[in-house]
Amino acid sequence: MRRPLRFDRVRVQITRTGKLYIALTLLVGVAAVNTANNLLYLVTAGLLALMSVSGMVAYCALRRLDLEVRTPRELYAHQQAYASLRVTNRRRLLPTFMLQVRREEDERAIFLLIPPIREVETTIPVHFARRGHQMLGEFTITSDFPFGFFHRGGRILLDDEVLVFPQPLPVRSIHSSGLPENDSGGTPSGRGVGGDFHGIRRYAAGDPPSRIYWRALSRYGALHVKEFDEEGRPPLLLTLESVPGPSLEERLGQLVTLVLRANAEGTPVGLDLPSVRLSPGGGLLHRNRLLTALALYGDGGVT
Amino acid sequence: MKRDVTEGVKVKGDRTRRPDRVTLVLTYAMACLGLAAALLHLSLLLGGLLAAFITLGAAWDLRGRHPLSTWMINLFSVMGVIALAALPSAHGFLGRLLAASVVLLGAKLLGPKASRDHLQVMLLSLLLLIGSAILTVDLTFGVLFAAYLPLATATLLWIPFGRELEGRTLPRGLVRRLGGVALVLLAAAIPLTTLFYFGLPRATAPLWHGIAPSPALASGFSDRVSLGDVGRIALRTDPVFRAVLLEGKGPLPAAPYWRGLVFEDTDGVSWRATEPPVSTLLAGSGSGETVRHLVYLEPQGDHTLFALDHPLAASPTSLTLRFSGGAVLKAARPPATRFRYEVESDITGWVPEVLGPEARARNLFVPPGLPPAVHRLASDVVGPARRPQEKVERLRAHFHTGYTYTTQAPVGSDHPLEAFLTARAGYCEYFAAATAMALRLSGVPARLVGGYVGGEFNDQGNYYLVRQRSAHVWVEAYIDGRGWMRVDPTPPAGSPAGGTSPASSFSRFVDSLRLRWYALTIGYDMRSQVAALRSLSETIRNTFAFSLEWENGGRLLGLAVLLAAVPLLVSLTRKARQHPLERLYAQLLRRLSRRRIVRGHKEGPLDFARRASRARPEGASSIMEISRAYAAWRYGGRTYGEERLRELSRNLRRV
Repeated sequence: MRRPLRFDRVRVQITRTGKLYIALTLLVGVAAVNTANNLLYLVTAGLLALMSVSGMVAYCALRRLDLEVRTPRELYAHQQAYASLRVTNRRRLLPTFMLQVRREEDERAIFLLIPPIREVETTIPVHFARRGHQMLGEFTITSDFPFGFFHRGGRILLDDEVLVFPQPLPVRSIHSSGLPENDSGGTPSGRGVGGDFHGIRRYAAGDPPSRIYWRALSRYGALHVKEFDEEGRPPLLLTLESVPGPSLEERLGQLVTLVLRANAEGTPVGLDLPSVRLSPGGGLLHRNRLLTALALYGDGGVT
Repeated sequence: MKRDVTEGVKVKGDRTRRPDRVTLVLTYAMACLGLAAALLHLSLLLGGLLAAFITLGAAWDLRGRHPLSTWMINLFSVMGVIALAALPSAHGFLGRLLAASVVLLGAKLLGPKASRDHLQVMLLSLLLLIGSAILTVDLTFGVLFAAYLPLATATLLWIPFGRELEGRTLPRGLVRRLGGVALVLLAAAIPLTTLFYFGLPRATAPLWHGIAPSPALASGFSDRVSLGDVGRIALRTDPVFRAVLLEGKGPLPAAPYWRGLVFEDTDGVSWRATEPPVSTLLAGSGSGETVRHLVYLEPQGDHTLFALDHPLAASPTSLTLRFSGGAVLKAARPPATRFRYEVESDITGWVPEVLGPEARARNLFVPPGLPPAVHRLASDVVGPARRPQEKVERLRAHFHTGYTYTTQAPVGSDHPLEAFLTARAGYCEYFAAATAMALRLSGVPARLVGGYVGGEFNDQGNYYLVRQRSAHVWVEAYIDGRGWMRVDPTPPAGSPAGGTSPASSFSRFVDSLRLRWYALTIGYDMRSQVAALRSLSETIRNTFAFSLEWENGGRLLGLAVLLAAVPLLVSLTRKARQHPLERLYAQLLRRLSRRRIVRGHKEGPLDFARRASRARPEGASSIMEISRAYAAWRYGGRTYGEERLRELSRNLRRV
């Protein structure tokens, strides 16, 4: 979501270069007063003028800017991802230079130039330590422009929530349970994958695009998908007991790996957790449902 | 939408787009400026050394190889600074400090450079510039400072970018845009510099003189003048002072006499300057013609100040200058740099002072051992006259008719005065000394006055430029009841009093610029500041005191209209040059940006139109239509008639 950059408190920090410059200006100024030398007054005036201009430009540099952060669709805890960072300069004349956006110490992006009435996009590394719904958090936006004397900027809290899946962990071993009776979940028709052609049915959300029967589109005027018999690989219903591990997080991590692997291989996979039960199935949407259930399970399930 | 410019790629071979090249260009420009500043006040040897550092550093930076390791450079710096501290310097401590800056600057240039080093180069160049500000008030400093300000702006602006872009290619257009920003910053910095320069509070006098070195003796005068000294400096052309005539007074009708020193004590061969107590003026005096003038004195290395004929009043007094006996002005301490003072002088040629008995005795003293020729001069030439003024006139006439001015020292006798009177040729000192002795022998108190005569009048600045070659010595004879009378026995032909050839109009113009610079830099003090503030407050009061007469109000209104018209005119001119479709599309972009729909950097007009249409479906057809027309004109060269443009314009209103 795009939002204007408005800081509760604008912080101005003097950089080392700035401190050196101020010290030099004071020194020359004192020398000018002491010696009554007008040329030193001229040098002092020049130094003061540059400092004042620097302050004015730094003030303008952070005005009328919008910030938008877009995270990738899949975020995993403890894994670095790249969020898209878009800054819009709404000023009509003044470009913005050297805008730094920082989330954590090592999560930093810099915009060297944002022309007037333009938006510029870059990426910023993001990292979440916990699964579940997480806030994007606090972003520090600063600019040293123009001379690097002042570090001017502020913090902006982005309260947009993102869903962070558990960190995929290597699977030590697996105890798979069979498909329970009277189950009609998974793929909408209960059909499998990899076997013989069975027939066609109407497209439903979550069906893999590879199974869309395009020729049927011209005949029926709607999307249909091809159905196949199961290939023989049994559907996988995962529970917390399916994988070993001393802690819940470790088990969830292994389950995420299994879901991702099964989905990639085309094996129907489901979840049977104490709070949620999802029958085996395939497709991206189903996979996301499973990952969401794992992300929100237990402590991480604060919605 | 394109990715941000920070996503630059690693440099492979494209040297022209390397950001470090820009940094290096700026750094070496700074170093060259430091070199120019160093040449203003340091020896040619040090200047040459710095030039060598610059050349070597640039060559090594271009090759990307620095043969000297860091420890070697550090060792070189330490040894250089120690050596320079041990060597004598013409400018004392400050000179050594500046010489050390040259060595450190060289060391910075010879090694590999990080962004910190570029800043240090800039700082050291500034130090050299400050050094030239302390040691010289020359116009060249103004030129260097005018170059330093934009260069410093560009360097300070660029260094953070150079640091950020290290190892990447230079994004296209960045340097151009930053150049534009530098120009804007500079345009804002120049009026602020002027404001700060005139607004920063001034001290009445220097509080500390420690840093300024004592100037070397440059004047042709000292407190002891032996016969022949003035002759040696008669050919020197370096300026001594410039005197601006105030109140619109033009060139003076006769060659002006610039008084500096009074010599009363003599042994017959040399004369010693004395500082008798300040005398009171004779009753009824002071009705003569006076001239106010501002003197810009070059540093002379002594306390002597020069002023027209008989200085009556001078400023600034107390801390910086004072009146001394013999109607001369003295500086409180030898000025280390150019020094300005204002004097009001009586130019009638008389100093109407009371002569006390002690002073009379001193000015009638005749040293023993004077050659007979001087006694003969007194008896033969002056003898017959009875009144002091007549005696003076006879002597003057004697020397003006029978003697010639020459720059060769007279020879032929052990005593210089006898040689002079025999050869009937000599310098002004000989004429003056012989006249004073003859007058004293005839009972008229007399003394020598040292100073300058004439000078080159510059009509472009209404001032006299007085050079060393105008040095002169003349006589003052005391006439009871009227005071000291100026007597110049030196024949005018060939002497400084005879005038100097006028300078070319170009050199007069350059010199008048120099004087303006001095007026701005030396002349601006606390008094000027207070006067300027008073004048400003007066102007503001007059402008807003309403009574605001129609005339003032009209003027104010006119000024406001003019100020408002400038950006309007610029905008109109720019718009007039735009194609109507370009203008229309710009309006569309502005309207959409107000609704937070902003065209992306390098996003095509049709892509943007589709995105904007999705965001504002109610205006989609208009957005698409205008964008298509713009793209067809911009990229396809398609033209549109008036009617179509009007239609598109109507569409814009629906967005």
